[in-house]
Amino acid sequence: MKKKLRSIISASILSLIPLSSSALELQEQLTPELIKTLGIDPNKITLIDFFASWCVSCRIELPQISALIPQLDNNQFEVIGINVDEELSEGQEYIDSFAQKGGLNFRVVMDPEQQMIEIFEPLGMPALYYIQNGKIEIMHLGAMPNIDDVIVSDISKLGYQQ
Amino acid sequence: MIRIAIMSSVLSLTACGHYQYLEQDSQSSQANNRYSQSNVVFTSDNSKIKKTDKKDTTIKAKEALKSTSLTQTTPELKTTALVKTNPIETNNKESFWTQLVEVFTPEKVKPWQKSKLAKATMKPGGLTPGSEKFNQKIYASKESSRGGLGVAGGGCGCN
Repeated sequence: MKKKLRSIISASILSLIPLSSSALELQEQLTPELIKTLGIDPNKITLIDFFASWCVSCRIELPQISALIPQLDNNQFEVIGINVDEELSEGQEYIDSFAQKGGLNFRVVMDPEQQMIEIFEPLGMPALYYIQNGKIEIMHLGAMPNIDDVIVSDISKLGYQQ
Repeated sequence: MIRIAIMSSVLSLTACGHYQYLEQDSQSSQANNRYSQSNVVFTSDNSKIKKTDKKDTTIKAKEALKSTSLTQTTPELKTTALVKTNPIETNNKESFWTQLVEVFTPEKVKPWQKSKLAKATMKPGGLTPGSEKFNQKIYASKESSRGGLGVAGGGCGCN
């Protein structure tokens, strides 16, 4: 009887534990659902940038990335920003704050439920993922100085033709 | 009485010596038989050899050597017959208490969940800049050193 009770209690407790999914690593393929949701073009090199309003490094990097995009070919390279602020209004305010500096020249996906970032599970923010043919080719986690130069060198490695 | 005592001691010594001899003999026969192919059965059970007589063991060893094929020159040790391997019991199941501890252990804050932690209200000094300065002054006077109090990267978990 005691054993049965124990097994019932342990089973009920185990059911409460959420199943943890493993983080996406280099050379891993994105799921078709994720590609569809984010609208990733398989013919382009796509840069996914996770950012948030409270991230100081993101505030430095975002204008640099935004200024770089007009200089690059849109048919070969695309940037998708994912805002992970828990409050939608907070995220929107943050994006609008860049208007004085020319705004953000790339598509931004709002992720207040943090569903997208929980799939990628980056170890730090800002998190940059280069996707080519649905596969993660390069990733940068954490603050990086001169991110625009870093992006240019990265995409040239992935076959971007200038 | 003294005579009896001496006699008994002598007898016990001889008995011990004889037993030792038997044991040595059985070990040597065991060693011989180990290298024979078909007679591993003799040596697998040590207790049987110890109990048997010296003559019996030598006869058995000779018989065993006869029964082995002469063509086989390189002896092989059948370790499977000599050594009894006990299966290692592995219990990968987590105990009830381990599961319970896991449930009550607070979940780690992930890098993208630090929005609240990055706010100024979460600082030890709170929103009041005076209290923070006051705390830092006390800390510096106690430690005789300053600095190293801030967190790099604005709480985004990147550094």
